[in-house]
Amino acid sequence: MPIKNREVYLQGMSACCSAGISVDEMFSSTLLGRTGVKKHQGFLDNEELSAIGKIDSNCSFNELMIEKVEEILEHSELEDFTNTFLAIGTSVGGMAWAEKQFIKDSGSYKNIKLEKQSIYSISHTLNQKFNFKDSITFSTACTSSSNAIVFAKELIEAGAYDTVLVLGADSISYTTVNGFNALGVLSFEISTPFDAHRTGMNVAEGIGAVLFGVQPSWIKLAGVGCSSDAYNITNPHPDGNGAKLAMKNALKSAKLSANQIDYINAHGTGTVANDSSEGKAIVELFPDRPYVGSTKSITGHTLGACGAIEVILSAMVLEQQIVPSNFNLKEEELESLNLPKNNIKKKIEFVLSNAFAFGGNNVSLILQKVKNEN
Amino acid sequence: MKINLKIISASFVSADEKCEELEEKRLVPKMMLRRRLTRGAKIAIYLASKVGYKNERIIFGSAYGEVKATVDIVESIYNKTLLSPTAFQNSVHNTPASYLSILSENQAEVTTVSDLFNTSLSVLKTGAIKALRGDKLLLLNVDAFNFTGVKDINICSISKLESGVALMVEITDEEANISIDNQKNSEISPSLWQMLEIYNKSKKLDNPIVEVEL
Repeated sequence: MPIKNREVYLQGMSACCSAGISVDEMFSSTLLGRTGVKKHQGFLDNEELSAIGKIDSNCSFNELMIEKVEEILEHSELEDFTNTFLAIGTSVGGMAWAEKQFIKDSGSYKNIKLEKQSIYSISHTLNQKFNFKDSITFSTACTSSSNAIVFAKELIEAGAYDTVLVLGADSISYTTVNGFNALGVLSFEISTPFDAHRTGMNVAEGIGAVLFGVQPSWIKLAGVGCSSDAYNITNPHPDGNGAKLAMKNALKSAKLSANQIDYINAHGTGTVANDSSEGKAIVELFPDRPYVGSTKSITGHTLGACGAIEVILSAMVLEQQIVPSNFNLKEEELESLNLPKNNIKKKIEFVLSNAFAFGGNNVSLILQKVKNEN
Repeated sequence: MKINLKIISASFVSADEKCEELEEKRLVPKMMLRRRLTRGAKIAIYLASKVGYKNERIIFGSAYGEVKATVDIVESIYNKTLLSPTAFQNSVHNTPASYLSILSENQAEVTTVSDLFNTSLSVLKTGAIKALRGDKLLLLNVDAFNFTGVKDINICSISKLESGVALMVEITDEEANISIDNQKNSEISPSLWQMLEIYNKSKKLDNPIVEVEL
């Protein structure tokens, strides 16, 4: 059975994270250096303040997810989602709910409901509210929603679906804040990706929804690339071998050469290991030194949602033709990385967005601006 | 859309409490790595070895994920004890497939899906679309959820607390001789049913081919 190879376009997007409760607000924060990462008490055992990205809203996380999906539907040409596939990306699912229930029940599992606790909880919530034709949840830690986007492209290319909604969502939980703290990679200050003196990452929550389809629009999902480090369960390969392979695969999928990439939205978590490994991979693969940036000092690291959220930010870079500055960067570790410290207005046609995860799971996505919407 | 997958090889394992004879010492000679493996990872590595896995792309599915690691974390948060970094790094759903890729030095794509009782079907659908590229794929579906509080959440009274299925597949134009009829199995977690059904049916056929509908 041959692949139809239909082109895949971005047809709508909505988002919500600590840096803003809309796409415009989130992107404005990125340009203005308005970080959503703040110091919070109550997540770490010793009552230490932790710098995390919490969404500033009176709504519950589930309500916000539903609101973001409704927003997509409202702004699309779809009447409903009855012919749309839902691809979800989440690393923790309903973990935050389960933790609270477990603590409320004094350490008992009796009231832990799988449809609320498991990775499937997001699918359960959205399928109860909307009538999607089918859905699958991807859970590959911090590449979850990136893998969902890869699958969306494959579904549409093959002709299985004309529209796929990708939703990346992860809420703050004690597990992730304390877990990253146990690994020694949690920063107690706002993160400084690619800085020589970086102190780690900021756990954050976020929701990113992207509607992909065959209807031509101003942004094309031009290429996707996946790889595995095959190296270590948490640490990336020090030379960025897996990262390089994912980016190479994305370039091959988009039929591009490295010098055609104008901007790289790096995974750039702010951890010593990730930024060093990713930086080396970029330097080696892109000798023409395209602009490189991380938006995680603004949004925090939204874990399984970051792939979708950063595809949205990359689409905004293409739409507004502005490369955002690397907020909070003071002294680059790798001078050969082209890390802008100011917003730069320039012609941008191709953006590559990276996401890397535990287990050495790597995904690179390439977006292309096809025409001016105006 | 319907995609036919040839079942090149298949394997299944299950146990009431703990799968024995997973050949860990032979399959994972490095002791440090072996000691870090989760139950799910050990089952995944064993099943992969039984279906002739080399360096194929992997589509892994697990409904409940790394239950033991998750429980260790939640209990240490509740009890205000030191959280184990190993438990946290092993707590993500893609842990078994990641250990398999590390062990086999496989740099190919690995993805993980989780849809509670539909997990098996999600593995098959994801595999079917990815198989369009023409390469062989390893489809793995593992759930290991034996922990002290399991009785509280085991609402289906599943007797086999560890089980897994592996199918090595590739796309084919040949006619399907296996249909997925959603056969139930009260002993095994519903998250594995469709893959288990294909395993059972494939054992009775010379050239098993399953039709996957998307």
